[in-house]
Amino acid sequence: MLKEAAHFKIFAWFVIAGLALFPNMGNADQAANYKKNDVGLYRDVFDQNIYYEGTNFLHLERLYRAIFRKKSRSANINIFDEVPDSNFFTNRHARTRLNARELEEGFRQGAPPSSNGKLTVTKGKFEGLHPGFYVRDDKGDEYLLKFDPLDYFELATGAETVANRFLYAIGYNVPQYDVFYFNADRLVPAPEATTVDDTGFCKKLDQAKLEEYLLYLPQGDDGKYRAAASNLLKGENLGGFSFAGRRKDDREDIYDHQDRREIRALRVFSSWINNNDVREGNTLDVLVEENGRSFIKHYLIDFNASLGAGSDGAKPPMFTHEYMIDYGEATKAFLGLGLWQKPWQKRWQEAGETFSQSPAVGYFDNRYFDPSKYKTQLPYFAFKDLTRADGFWAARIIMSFTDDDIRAMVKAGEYSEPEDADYIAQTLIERRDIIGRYWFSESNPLDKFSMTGDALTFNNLAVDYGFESKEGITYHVKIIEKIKKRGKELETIQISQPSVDLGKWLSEAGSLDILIKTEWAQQGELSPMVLVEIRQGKVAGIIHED
Amino acid sequence: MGRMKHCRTSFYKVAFFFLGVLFIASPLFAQDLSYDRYTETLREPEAPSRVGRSIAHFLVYPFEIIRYGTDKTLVAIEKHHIDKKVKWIYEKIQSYGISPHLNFVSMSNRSYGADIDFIRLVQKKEYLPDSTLSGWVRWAEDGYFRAGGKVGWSLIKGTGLRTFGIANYENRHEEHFYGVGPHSSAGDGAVFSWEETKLEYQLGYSKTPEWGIDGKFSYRNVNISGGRDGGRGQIGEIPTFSEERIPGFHGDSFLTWKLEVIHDTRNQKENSTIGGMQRFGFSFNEGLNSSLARFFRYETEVSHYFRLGADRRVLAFHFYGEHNDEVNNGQVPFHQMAKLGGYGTSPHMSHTLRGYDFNRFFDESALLFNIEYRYTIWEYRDYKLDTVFFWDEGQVFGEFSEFQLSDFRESYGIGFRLSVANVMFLALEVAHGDEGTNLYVKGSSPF
Repeated sequence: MLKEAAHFKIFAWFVIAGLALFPNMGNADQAANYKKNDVGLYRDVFDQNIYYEGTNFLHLERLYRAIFRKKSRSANINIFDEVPDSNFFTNRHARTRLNARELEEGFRQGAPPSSNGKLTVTKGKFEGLHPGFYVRDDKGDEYLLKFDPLDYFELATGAETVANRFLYAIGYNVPQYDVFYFNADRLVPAPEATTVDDTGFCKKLDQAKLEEYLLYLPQGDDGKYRAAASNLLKGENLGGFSFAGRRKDDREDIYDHQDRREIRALRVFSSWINNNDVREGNTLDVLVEENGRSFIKHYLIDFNASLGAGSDGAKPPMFTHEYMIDYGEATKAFLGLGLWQKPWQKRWQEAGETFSQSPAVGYFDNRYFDPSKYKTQLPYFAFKDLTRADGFWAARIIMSFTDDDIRAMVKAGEYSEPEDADYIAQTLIERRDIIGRYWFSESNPLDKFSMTGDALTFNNLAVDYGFESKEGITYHVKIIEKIKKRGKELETIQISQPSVDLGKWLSEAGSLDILIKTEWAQQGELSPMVLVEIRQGKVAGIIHED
Repeated sequence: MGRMKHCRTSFYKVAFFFLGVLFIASPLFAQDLSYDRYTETLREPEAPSRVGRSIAHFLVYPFEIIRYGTDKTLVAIEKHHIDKKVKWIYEKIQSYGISPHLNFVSMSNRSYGADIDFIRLVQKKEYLPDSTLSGWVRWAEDGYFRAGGKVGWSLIKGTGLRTFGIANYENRHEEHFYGVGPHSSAGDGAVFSWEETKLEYQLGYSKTPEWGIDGKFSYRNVNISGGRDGGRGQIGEIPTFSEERIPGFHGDSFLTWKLEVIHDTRNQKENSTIGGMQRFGFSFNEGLNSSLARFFRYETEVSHYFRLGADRRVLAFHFYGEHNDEVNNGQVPFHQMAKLGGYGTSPHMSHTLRGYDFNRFFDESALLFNIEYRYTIWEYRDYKLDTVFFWDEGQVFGEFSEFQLSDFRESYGIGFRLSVANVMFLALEVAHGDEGTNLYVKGSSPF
C-alpha cells in the first residue's frame, strides 16, 4: 500500500512538473510553434533555376503528367470553380466593385507618414547604390522608405505603389504603400540606428552616413525626396512562403501552394502589371490576430520591379521574356545559330537599343507582349502548372477592371507628368484586353450561369467584352442525366443563343449535368468544355475544363 | 383632412421612391445569381494526402539533402551579407594595388597569383598617376612559375611618350617537344624544362590611343633541361632529340633589339564586336657567350571583328605569321622558334591550334589563321553566354621555299564562353584535329 502511495506521489510530481514546464499543453492554438521560413534571392535562384529544373522529371507525378499531357487541377476551388476567401486571397473588386477612392487608396493599415515633424531613422540599408530607411514618424508609426534609382525619378516608387493597388484590388494581401515626399532635414538618425552598407558590415547610421546615402537619391524640382512608404505590417514576421508545398506548422494551410489557383494565377496578374520579380523572396507570412483569432496571413511584398521598372533603373530588355537562366531559350538560340532573333531582341532593336521612354515610365509597352509567353524571373512550377481554367479565372478578374478603375489605381503613383500616368494607364488598359482576349480564347469564356425558370442562361464574356461577335456562335450542349455518380447522355443540341431550355429533361431527371462547348464563327473548332451541375432545378456546380 | 392629405402625399412619395429604386436596380437584380459563387463549399474539402505525394516524389528525396544544405548555406550567405563582405575585402585589397589572380590552365589545373601596384600600395597614386611600379607572381599547380616587375612612366610631360623597365623570371618545368618541322610525330613527344630570365627596356610613343610604336631592348637567358617526366621521355634521352640535332639544346643567352607597331581599334579587349588589332614586329637577336643564336624575327598579327547586324553575332578573324631568319651562319634556337598548338593563352610560348597539344609544332616559320563565329545564346543583365564555332588552320615550316599548302593542319570545334560586362571568366571548348580531341577550360579567349 505504501509502495503504491509512493508511486502515486511520484506520478503526481511528474504531472505537476509537466504542467509547470508545459503550461500550454492541450491548447494547440497557443502552443503553436511557428518556424520562420528564411527566403532569399540566392536560394530562390538555386532552387528554381537549378535544383527543380534538374530534378523535374524525378517527380513521378510530373513525369506522368508530362507524358500523358495531363493537367493538374487547382485544389482550392469551390463548387462554382471560384477561389473562396482565405488567408492568401480575398475576392475584392471582381466580387464587389471598389469605388475610385478605394481603388486609389488600396490597403489601409494606418495613416501615411506624417507630413510634418521629424522622421527618426531606426535602420538603414544600402544595396547596389540604393539606400532605404526604416523610419518612425512623430505619431510613432513605423515605415520602410524605398526610393527611385538616381536617374529615374518616380520610376520605382510609382511602380511599387501602382502595382500594390492592383494586387490589393485583385485580392491579395499586401502592405500599405504610399508615395511620400519629404525634405532631407526631417530625417534624424536614432542614437541606436545601424545600417548594412555595400561592405556587408553593420555600421552605425549617423548624420554623416545619412547625408552620404541621400547623395544617391534623386530629388524633385522642389528639392524634396520621393519615397514609396510602406507601413510596417503588424504581427510576427514568419519569413516568406513557398510557392510549392505548404507550411507544416499551419493547420489552415491545407493545400500545396502550387495547387492554389491564386498562386498559379500570379503569373497572369504579374503579366498584367509587368511584375516579373514575383518570387518567394518577395512574400511574407505574418502571424496576425484578427477578431480574436490568431492565424498566419500570407502577403505579397516588394513591387518596385513592376511596370517599366527594374531594380536599378529601367527594366532590362530580356526581363519578362526569359527566366533568369532560361535553358529553353538558350537552347533555341544555340540551335538558331544566332540567326534567330528573340522577341525581346526585336523589341529592343526597334527601341533603338536605348531606354527612350520617360524616366518615370522606364521600359514598358505592349510590343511583343504575349500572355502565353510571359515569364517571371524564376520558373516556378506553380506558374507552369497554370491551367486554362486558372487563366480564365484570372482573366475574368482582370477584365472586371474598367478603364476608369485602372486610371484610379495609376493615380496612386502620383506621377508629376500627366502624360506619364496616361501612358502607363493606357498600356495597362491595352494589356488588360490582350490578356482577356488570350485567356478567353484559350478557355470557354462562359460565365454567370443562372436558372431562369427551366432555362439555363449564361453570358459569353468574350462577346460581352467585345472580343468576339455574337453572330455565328454555336453552343454544343450535351444534356446528361446524373444518377448517383454515373451519367447518362440524354441529348445533344446546338443552340445559337446563350440559353438552354431544360424543361423537357428537368421534369424527368432531378440531377442534370450540362456540358457546353463553344464553336466560334471563324475558327470552326470547339472550345474546351464547361460543365454546369443542375440539382433540383438550381445551379449546384460549375467546372471549367483545365 | 390636411393631415390625411399629407399622409397620402407621403405614402405616394415613399411608394414612388421604392418603385424608382426597383426600376433602377432591376437590371442589377436580373444579373444577380441565385447562388453564392464565392461560397466556401469546396469541391475537394479534404486536404490531399501527404503519403501519396511522398510516394510520387520518392526519387527526389536523395537529392533533397543537397538542396537542404545548399539552401541553408545560400540563406546564410545572403542573411549575413557574406558575398558583400568578400567583394568589399577584394575591392579593398585592389584599392591597395593588389589584384589576386585565379585562372584555369586546364580542366584539372588552375593558376594562382597576384599583381601588385606598389604605388597604390603606398597610396601615392594621386601624386604619381602616370608612373608604374608593379610586380606580379603566378604559379600553376602543375605547370609554371612566373614572377617579375615593371617600373616606368607613361604620358611623359603630357606627351604620348612612355618608358619602362621590365624584369621577369619564368620557369616551366613540363614543356612538350615533338621535334622540329611540320611532319613531326605526336608519338615522339619529349619533355623539357624552360627557365627564362629577362631584363627589358622599352621606349614607346602613342600619338593616339589607337596607335603605338615601341622599341625594346632586352637581355634574355634561357636554360633548358630535362624537365619533369610526366610519363614522357626527357628531351636528352631520346636519340632524335639529341644535342647535335636540336639547336639551343642547353639554352642560350642573347640580346634582342625589337621594334613593334600596334594599331588597335577593338571596342573591347575581350569579346570585341567591331574593329581590330594589327601588330607588326621586327627584332634582331644575338647570342652571348658561347651561344650560336643570331637571327632576325619578323612577326605579323592581325585580328578583325565583324558585327553581323547585331552585337550578338560576331565573326572574328585572326592571322599570325612569324619567320625567324638566321644571320651570318647563326642559329635559331629551338626554344625561340615559332610554335603552334593549344589554346593560345600563352602566345609567347605557343599559338592557337586547338586540336593539337600545346607546343605541338616547332619551326623557324609559322602561319596561322583562326576564324570564329561567336553568337550570344543567353543574357541576363551584364552576364552573357556565347557559343563559338571555330576553325584553326596553321602550319610551321623552315624557309619560305619549304612552305607547302598540304602541310596545313586544321582543327575545328565548338565552345561556350561566359562573361560579365564583356570580361570573360569561363570558356569551355572542345576542339578536334587529326591527332585527337582536346577539351579546354579557360578563363580568357585566344584572341
